[in-house]
Amino acid sequence: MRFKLRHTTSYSYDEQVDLASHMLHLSPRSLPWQQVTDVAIHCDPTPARTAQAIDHFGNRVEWIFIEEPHDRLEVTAVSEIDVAFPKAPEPEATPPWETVAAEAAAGGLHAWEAAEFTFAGPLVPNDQGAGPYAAESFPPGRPILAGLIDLNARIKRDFAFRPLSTTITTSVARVMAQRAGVCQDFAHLMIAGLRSLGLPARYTSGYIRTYPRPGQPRRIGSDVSHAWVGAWLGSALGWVDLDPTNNLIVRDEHVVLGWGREFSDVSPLRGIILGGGPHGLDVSVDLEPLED
Amino acid sequence: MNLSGLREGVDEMVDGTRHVRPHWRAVLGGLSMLSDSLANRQRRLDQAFEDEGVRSILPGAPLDGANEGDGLWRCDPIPLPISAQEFMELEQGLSQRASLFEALLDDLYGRQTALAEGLLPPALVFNNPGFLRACHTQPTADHPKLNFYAADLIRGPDGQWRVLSDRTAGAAGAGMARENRRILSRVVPEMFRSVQIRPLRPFFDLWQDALVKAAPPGRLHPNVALLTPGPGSPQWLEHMLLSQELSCSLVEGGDLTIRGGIVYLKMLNGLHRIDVILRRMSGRMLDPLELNSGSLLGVPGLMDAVRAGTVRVVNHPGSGLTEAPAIPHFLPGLAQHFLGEPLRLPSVETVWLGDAAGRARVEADPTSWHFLPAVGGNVTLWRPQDMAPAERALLFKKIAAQPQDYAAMLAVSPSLAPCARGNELVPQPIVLRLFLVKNGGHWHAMPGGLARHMEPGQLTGQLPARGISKDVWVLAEGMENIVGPAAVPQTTLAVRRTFGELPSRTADNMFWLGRYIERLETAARLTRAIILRLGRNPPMPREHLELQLLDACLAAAHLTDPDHSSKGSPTAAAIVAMTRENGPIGRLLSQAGRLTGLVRDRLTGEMYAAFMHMLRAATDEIAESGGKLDGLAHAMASIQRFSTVVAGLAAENMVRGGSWIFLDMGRRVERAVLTADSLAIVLDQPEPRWELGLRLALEICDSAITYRSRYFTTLQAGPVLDLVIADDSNPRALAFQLATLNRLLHSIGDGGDDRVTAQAEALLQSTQDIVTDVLTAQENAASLAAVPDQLHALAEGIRGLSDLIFRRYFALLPMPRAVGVEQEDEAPLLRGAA
Repeated sequence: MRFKLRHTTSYSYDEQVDLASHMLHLSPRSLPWQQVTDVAIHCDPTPARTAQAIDHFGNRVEWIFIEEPHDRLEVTAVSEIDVAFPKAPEPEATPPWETVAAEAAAGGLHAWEAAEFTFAGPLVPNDQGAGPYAAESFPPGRPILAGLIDLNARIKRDFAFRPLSTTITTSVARVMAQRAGVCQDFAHLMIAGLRSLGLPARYTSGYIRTYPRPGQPRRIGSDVSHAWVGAWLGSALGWVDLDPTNNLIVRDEHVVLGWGREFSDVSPLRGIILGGGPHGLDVSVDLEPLED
Repeated sequence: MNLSGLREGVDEMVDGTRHVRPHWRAVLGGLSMLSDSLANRQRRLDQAFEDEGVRSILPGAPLDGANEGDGLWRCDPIPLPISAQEFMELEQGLSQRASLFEALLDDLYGRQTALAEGLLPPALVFNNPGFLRACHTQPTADHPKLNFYAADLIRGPDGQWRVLSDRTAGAAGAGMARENRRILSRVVPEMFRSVQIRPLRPFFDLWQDALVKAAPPGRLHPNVALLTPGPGSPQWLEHMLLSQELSCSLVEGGDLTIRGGIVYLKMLNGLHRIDVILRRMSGRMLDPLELNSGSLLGVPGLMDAVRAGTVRVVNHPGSGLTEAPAIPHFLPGLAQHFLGEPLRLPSVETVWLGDAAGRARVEADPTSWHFLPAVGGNVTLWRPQDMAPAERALLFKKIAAQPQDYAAMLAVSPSLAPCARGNELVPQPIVLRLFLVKNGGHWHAMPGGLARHMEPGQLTGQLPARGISKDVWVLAEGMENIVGPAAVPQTTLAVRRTFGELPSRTADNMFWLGRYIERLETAARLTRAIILRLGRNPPMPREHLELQLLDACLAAAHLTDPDHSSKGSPTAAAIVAMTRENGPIGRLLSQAGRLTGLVRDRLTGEMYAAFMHMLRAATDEIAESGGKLDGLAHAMASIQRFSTVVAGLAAENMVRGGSWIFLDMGRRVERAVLTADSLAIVLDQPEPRWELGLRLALEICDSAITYRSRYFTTLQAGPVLDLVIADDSNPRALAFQLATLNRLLHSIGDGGDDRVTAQAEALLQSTQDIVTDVLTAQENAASLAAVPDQLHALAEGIRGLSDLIFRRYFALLPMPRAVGVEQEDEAPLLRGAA
């Protein structure tokens, strides 16, 4: 599936910002199953300095440094993406989940990188109720992907999708309690649950194709950022991506920006400003399918 | 001497046959030559440290001293000698460890083969808050990871030194070690006479040279800065000592700014490039953009500058990674892997409890071990031996649930060294911290160190808040060892005499110190004048009026206690209230002490000691007066003397550069404002009381004697006002303050800022105009009546000038804050995708 992506972030400040530094995770990473072309990032005002690198997790990261006073900042990232995730293995043919956990715990040649995704993080701590919840999907000996598909479906069933009910800092415990949230919360919840079983799980930031209501045209810019979960099936099978918000295994309607342990590793745009006073934020995303 | 009471640890001084070890003989010989008692020397040592502000600034100590001898940080008069042979072995062992940590850090911030090959479990890296992912990028800065390394060691019962903790981020104590040596050799010189010990200074030469060499290539005169969390840090004094020893700027994050990927220090005369940052704060705090976004201590964009190679941070920002307490478990294997040789100097035996075999060993005999968190720095240590059974059970339960989060370290009895207690020597368990720097491809250990008497539970790598330290002597074997390697010659420095090369923050502190000292002096002068009149009981009607006017002057300067604001004349109770600890004068005293501490690095040791001594003495005199007026008058006289001494010491000791300029500017501004206000009050009189007003004006300006010598006893408005307002040769006159300010402003940088100097010149002119008006007036009555308003206007003008100075020279950039990251209060609500 081919897409044209346009992601615009606009900050408006009540007072002048004297100096600003921002770190961007806005360029989709290239993967064997995701080709990224024509990547460009436009900033207004023009930064005094920009820098690029590949971060610890292999994502593309950019920095912009603005040294002139400004009361608004607009960052637009555009790219074209051709995505087709490999087909997931047969669930019943995957190893028992305990084997996968043991392999991750042992580390070493084939598992040391995956092991990183078994540890707690600030937004995804060890417990908070997600562990016992996830454990119900993993009775002894169950093939790991069967358990993952079950957990994915349960989250979709048990939790209400409710925009504006949470923030980027909402804890897993609170999501467990209110049984509602958005994609980021469900991803964090699932990650916390899997890690408490010793299973490597990572946070994937990206986009998902949306469909207009029947009979209505596509509305430009009405898409939003999305997040889902990468889960490890052991060194032989590698990673599979699951979207608990939509209860599906990721195939070709998701575009990957990047991944990390949790949201804060891949927040699309974060920065430090001097001055500025109160600010307003506007994000507009457009994921346009190029073939139909 | 009482040498009994030995505990189980081996004795440093006495061998198994109760003979004094050879390298201790010189120490004991020196002690026997003391002309007075050991206890007396201990007192003098304490005093010497206190004079230099050491005891008052060390971690845990309250700002203005505490109870005598209740275990603050102090230096023991008995040093810890180490033989040349033993030191050489320690240096070799520690050099190898430092090289190993360099290789390990290079690997973990690079290809991570130690993880892939299973030499180190992923938990100790990926679950380690010291592993900074921001340092593991492509491209990344290809800088050496370590420039400095320190280790805490203890000697076990078998006589073998073992490393208790490795410090790869940047351990405190090197500055303190130098301070210990400096003061000990001054207070107990006898001990140094009969022995040749290696000097410490060459080590700092090597270190300084290594820092300069660390600069990015092509920089002719690299600038080095020591980055400190600031005066709030428990290590502030260490940072000041170290920055002086290494001749580098002492800066806080807020003093630095980054433009175009280059780090600059904000100085009065502009931005000065910084090439090397000696970091003395956690790596996680260095850059709020990429690391801890809540850190106000760091510099946004610093990691980018590091990656760009325009600045070197030493040690490497992520070098705290290898301080994880569980890592020693894996060092023997890592030494074989990275260096191809066995570890020479072992750690105190350490087991990572994520390892099943190790855990079984520990579980078999848990009370022989101490427990630590596996990662996250060495700050916590649990001793099951000392825990209540329930507490211990809880600890073991937590460990059983998450064994990979813990490490166990064998409980070893440290060696004992004699410490002075009164006139006796008491053997105490000790830990030794040694420091190494890398220069020219080799590691060099400081021939000395910081030993400390260890309380139970202080086995962690942090220096405790209180305790007893010891100077460490490395005995010289031959003369060739006494001279350390000379610093590599540098390019000749151009002679500099500029005035603006002062961090804006320091200028700000100096300015306010000047203002507070002047306020104190004025407060003391006015208070003394009041006490003098209150003492004559009952006051005459004329004195009654004078008292009211003096009180009004104090009130105008916000120096009266609000609880005792009287419309009538001041009472003894009101004066006592003013001087209370939380009254206006008490607060000024503590503010002056605080600011003196903040500019400690800009004052000579003698100046600092004198300032603090006198401030403390004045505070004590107030306390001792017990509310008696004559006692308070004494205290006020002490404050006036303090102010005079500050002026004298500053005049004689401070280069006429930035620090001195701003200290003096602060005094001039404050004196000008207070004098203008006070004169306006006392001169605001109906004609029959002019004489009284003029006399008070002379008294307030301390100019009565000058007047008498010029004009004998004839009191007239013109001459009096000329002397206290327009005479720029009278240091108490308004014109003198403004003329001096004007000169000082012109001496900053390239002739000063036009707007500021124009304002100062206009104010100076108006002092002349006020007096000219009075002298040339046809009708005396009308002209003097206008003076108070003119003076009020002048005071306003001076306050405006002070604002201009503040905005021009000190106004710092606004506080940085984060957008788009975890901040509880202003996190945007999530819309999410369906």
